[in-house]
This record gives sequence, structure tokens and C-alpha cells, in this order.
Amino acid sequence: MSKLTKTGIKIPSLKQPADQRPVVDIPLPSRLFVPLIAGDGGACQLIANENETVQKCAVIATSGTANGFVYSPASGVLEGRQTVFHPLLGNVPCAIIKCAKTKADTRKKVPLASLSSEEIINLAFKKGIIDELDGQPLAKKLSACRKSKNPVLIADGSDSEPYSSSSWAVINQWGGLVYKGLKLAAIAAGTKNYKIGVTLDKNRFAGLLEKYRQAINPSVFIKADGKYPASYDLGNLKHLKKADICRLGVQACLALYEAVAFNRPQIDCVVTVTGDCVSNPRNVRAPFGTPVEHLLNFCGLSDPPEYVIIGDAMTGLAIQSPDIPIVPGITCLIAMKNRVQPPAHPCIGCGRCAAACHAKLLPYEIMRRLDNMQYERLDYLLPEECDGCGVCSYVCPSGLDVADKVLEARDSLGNIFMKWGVGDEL
Amino acid sequence: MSYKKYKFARAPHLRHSDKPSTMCADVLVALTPLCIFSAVYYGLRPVLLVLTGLGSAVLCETIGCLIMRRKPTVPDGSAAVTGAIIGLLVSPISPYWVPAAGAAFAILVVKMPMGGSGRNVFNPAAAGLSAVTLCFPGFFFRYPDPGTGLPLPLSNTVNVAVVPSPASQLASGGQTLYSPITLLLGGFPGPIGATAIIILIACALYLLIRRTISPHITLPYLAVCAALACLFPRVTSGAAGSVMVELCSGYLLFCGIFILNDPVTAPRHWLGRIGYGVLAGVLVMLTRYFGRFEEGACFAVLLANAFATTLDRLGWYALNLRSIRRRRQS
Repeated sequence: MSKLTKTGIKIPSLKQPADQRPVVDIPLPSRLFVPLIAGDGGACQLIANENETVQKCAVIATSGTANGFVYSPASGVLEGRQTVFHPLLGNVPCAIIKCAKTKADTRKKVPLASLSSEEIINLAFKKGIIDELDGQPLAKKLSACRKSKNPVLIADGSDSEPYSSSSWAVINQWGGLVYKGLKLAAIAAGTKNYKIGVTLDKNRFAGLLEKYRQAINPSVFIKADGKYPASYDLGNLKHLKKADICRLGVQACLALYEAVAFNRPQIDCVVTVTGDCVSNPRNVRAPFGTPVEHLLNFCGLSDPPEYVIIGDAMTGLAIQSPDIPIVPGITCLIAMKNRVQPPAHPCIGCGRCAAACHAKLLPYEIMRRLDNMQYERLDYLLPEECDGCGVCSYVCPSGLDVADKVLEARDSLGNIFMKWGVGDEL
Repeated sequence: MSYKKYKFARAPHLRHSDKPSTMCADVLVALTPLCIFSAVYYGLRPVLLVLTGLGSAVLCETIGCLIMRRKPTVPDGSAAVTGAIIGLLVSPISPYWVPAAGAAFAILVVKMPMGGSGRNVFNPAAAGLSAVTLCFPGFFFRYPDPGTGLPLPLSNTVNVAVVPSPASQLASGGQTLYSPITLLLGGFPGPIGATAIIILIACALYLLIRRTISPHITLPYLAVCAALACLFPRVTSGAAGSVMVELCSGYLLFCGIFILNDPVTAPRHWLGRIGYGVLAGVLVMLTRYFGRFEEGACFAVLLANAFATTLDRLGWYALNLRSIRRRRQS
């Protein structure tokens, strides 16, 4: 039966050549726009004064709670505060920091004490560690994971989306540290089951095992099929079927290790800068608040892009302003000249959206009812289980924005129109 | 911050390369060897009949789009597929206007008034065939002997000897005249494109690999037809012989591959598709056993189409009953 209901899809990989290149640190831009949102999600007030010099990793704002801090990603002068529109965060107040040239990052290693679960979670909150997979605070995820029966932590380096290779780049470059971070996360989550998931061909997987032969137990690595979405792909691995899988971003694991070992907050992230307009696609490490245009200019533009997408091609948001700052959760930046948008044709009923949906929904039926204003019993089609992976739109031969419609239905579930016909028989 | 430099677009920013036109092109590619096979036995006449059906469907779709003031939908290829299927299911000695009339009915009465491409409830090809079968029964089910090896004349009407097809032998009961090998190789009288059984199987495999047709419809359909043929044989050659003749005669197999798998009129969910295949199989065999004509698959498909949406939802609801109950209670 499992073959009949096979879901998830293979998307052609467009990661090359970025995935073959090492991660490079980007030079600081002239100004950083740092969102004043703490790691626990609370809005923060500036504690540093205008025109005051701030040091890298220093606290510049606080939400008033024990764990709500915003750290300066670079040394410089705090110029003030400005509200900007960010497609991921909405209208958000940002601190503007005029960057100063500083020496190379020197880190003092703090001796690793035997930390308890609560201490690690508190540290993750305090250091503002955000999981790049879903934009959730890492500490919240670990707390939730503690409550499940058979938790398995997976540092997801599968990069299941077509362009992004940032997770792979982090594992390739700092695999040992990711592993240490994952071990700390496992202590926090109260489990001994932890894995690092990767999607690689045979040779590269063997190379990875060889590279970390001494640092990492080889059984920790698991190889996923490379199907999209990764949540489906990793959840379907044979020996993990009955486990409560908690996927963590590899950058979050790395940040957790750095928080514990160096007392360093999460102030930067690795972003894949790619697309047909980028002349030198690569993975770059950029401080939070770096404007998108600075990253694009650093990697070089062969053509002026028509579309710039933050996030990957399947779920990413097209931005219109070049000044949008990089925030936690952004792992890919795509600059495109052309974008394939097939002309919309009426639904031909091929059923590929239903076959590909890993949440096992009926996307075409939800779309049809929404289009025809047949709201009765729309909630029986369970649109709230959609996670917006976009597979239904990708496979649709008619070029319809099916995922948009399902998300529209999901978001309007509380709407009064949705209550029409409630109580009717099926 | 507010200045706009780049264009806005919705995710996903990548699309699969398949389009409705590629799916229709796949079907047309699969139909071509059937047409060539028939041309080997009967000469150019079957090819002209198929082209007449195809041309009529395309012309009628263009006219329909003009009347409805819509963008022409001919390039998506669905009209061409409808016309070609109707052309392939008529007799090689039919007059040229028979497939043309069937295709015109299919497009102008069944497809366009429902809203055109992608919106029709009933399969246009099955409806067109049903219409011409009911209106002009004298031109249907009269097949020439393929064994003569002589090409048929290209004139509108043809006077050649007519021989009973396996389907008509089944309808009248008794012993079948055709061996299993003859049935597999297609050397028996029948519709233009429905006798080449081995080619039909190859076409089905091609379309399955291309994911243009679904095994969830075709396999249950054929299984039910075979089971009923085995349980209630109409020939004296036993259960195995009955299954062989029932599956190879008429256009039962063609229908299971091409007509039932029309995505617009079939269910979308895999469980609904299995139900649809089973229902269609039962209906096809019932129309054979109790129908007026030796082959009534087109009528059975139309009946099954009426249940497609219901089966689709029932299949999904059956799998998600627990979640829906929880939702109701909340």
C-alpha cells in the first residue's frame, strides 16, 4: 500500500557550483539593519544610545525578560532606529549600525562544563538561537522535544530544496562542531538518539565519512533519498518510522555549540547566493542585518536581476526592495533573470497534486471549492494540515497556484464564510 | 527601504516541465502506432478516417472558442486526442462523415457547453461514440476481414464482405473462431485501433512510464473485467478462453487505456480511481452481457463518469474518517 500512496517528489538539483565551494566570510557592509526582535520572539527596546559605539556580540536591545536580548552582529556606531518592512517579519523596528573596520574575530574558549538540560535550553534562549529550518527559537523546539516519548534529533543537512546548499556547506566545513552542537541539543532534549541527515551521492557520502572518521561516529550520518520536502523524506527512513522526529538546522546546532563553548550569540548565518544572474554562486557567511544587495554585489551580478528571492525556489519570497536585511531563517538568496510561469490552464484533473502531497490532502478539491465559493465543509478537507511546501503547485501541469489556494483556505478557517453548511451531512 | 527594484512573484519559482499539451502529445504518440498497424492491414483508409475525426474535432473546438469568445484551446491537444480516439474506434469501412459527426458531437455538445477544456463532466470521446452508435447503428460493428491483405478503397462508402468480430461471436454465444495468438497479434476484425493488442499493451506501458495514465484505474478495470469473464463465460472454450476473448474483443482494452484515463473526467485520488476502475469494469461487462450492442464500453464510461466526483471524495473521506470525525466533534 505504501507504494500506492507514495508522496514527495524529486526536484532537479541546481546547487552547483555553490555546493563545491567553501564558505567565505563577507566583508562588512557600510550599515547593518538589525531587527529588534529577541530570540524568544519578544519585541525589544534599544538600551544603547544613539551615536554610541557598540562592540561585536554586545547587547544592544532587550525585551525586559530574562532571555530577551538582541546582539550587535558587528562593531560600529549605533546610528538610530528605523521601522522597515520585512517580508518575513512584517513591519519591524531595526537598529541601524554603521560598521567599523575591526580585527579578525578572536574567540576565547570557555571550558565546557557538564551543563544540564535546562541550562542548555536557557542558554539557547539567551543567545537568541533561531533554527533556520522554520524560524522557530531552538530552545522552544528542544523544550517541546523533551516532552515527546521517543524523540530522535536530526540535524537536517539534506538541503532538499533545489538551490540551497548552505547546510551541506556548514557540515562540510564545520561538521565536527555541528556534531558537538547536536550532542548538546540531545542532552537538552533528553535523548540519546541523534543523527545528521544528508543527501549525497555514494562517492561524496563516502568522502564525508572519511573526512570525519575520527571526529564523528559514522553511524550518526544518515543518507536521505533527496526527496522534497525533507520532513517527509527523513520521516520515511525505515529505522525512524516510529520515532518522534525533531529536525534541527545544522546552523542552529553550530550556533548552540558556539554559545556553549565560546559564549557567543548567534549573530550571523550562512547563505547560499545563487541564481542565473549571479556570476559567482557560493555560500557566504553574513552577519544578520546585511542588506540583500550587499550579498548580491559581493558574489557579482552577470545581469541585473528581475526577481530576487529570499529562501529557496519552492517556498521563497520574492522581494522588491534591495535593502531587505538578512535575518535568521534565511539560508538562500536567488537572483533570477527569468522565472518560469506557465500560462494558467483550467485544472485538467490529473491528480498529481494529490499524489505528491505529503500531508495527503486534496489540493485540487480545496482550490475548486474556494474558487466556486463552496465554503461548506471546506474544513473537512483539513487544509490546516498544509505546511506550504509548494509541491502541488510545482507538479501542476496546468500551471495553477494550487499551494496559494490551500494556504488561503488554511488561513481563512476561522472566517465566518467557512461556517456555511456546518452540521450538514457528508 | 520602500523603493521597489525587483518584480514580485509567488512561490514556487520553479515548475515541472509537464503541461497539458505534453500529456496530450504523449497520448497522440501512443495512438500513432495503432493507426499505422491498421494501415498495414487496410491501406490508407483507416488513416484518413482518423484524420477526419481529428480534423473535425479541432475545427469544432476552434468554432466553439470563437463562439464563446475564448482564447483558442486547440494547442493543448485535447481536441485532437478526442477526435483521434473517435476515429480509431470506428469500423475501417465506415463513411468518413461518421467519425466527423462523432467528433463534432463530442466537442460542440459535450465539451464546449460545459466550459471547454478541463471542465467537461463526461468524456467527450465516449459521448461522441455513444451518439453515433445510437444514431447510426448500421455503420457500426460491421468489420471487413483483415486477412484478405487488400487495401480498402478510399471512396466514402465501401462494399466489401463483412465478417463477424469476436465481440459479435461472444454476443451470440458458442465457440469463438479466433485463436489466442490471432487475438494477440490483432489479425481479427474490429475497430481501427482496438485490435492490435500487443501494441495496445506497449502503448499502455509507455503512458504508464510517462505518468500520463494511472495504473490505479486501468489495472482494477481489467481485473474486474477478467474476473467477470472468468465467472460468467460466454464461450464454450472455458474460463481462460473467455477471459482472453473478452479482453481482446471490441474496444474494452482500448477503453481501459485511453478513455477511462482521461484525467478531466476520472477521479484524482488513488482510492477513488480504484473504485472508478472497478465500477467501469462492472458496467462495461454488464453492457456487454445485457446491452443491445456487441460493445457498449462507451455507454459504461459515461455512466462511470457520473460517479467520478463522488468516488473521488468518498475515497479520500474513507482514508481520513478519523480526522474528519475529530473535526466534527471540535
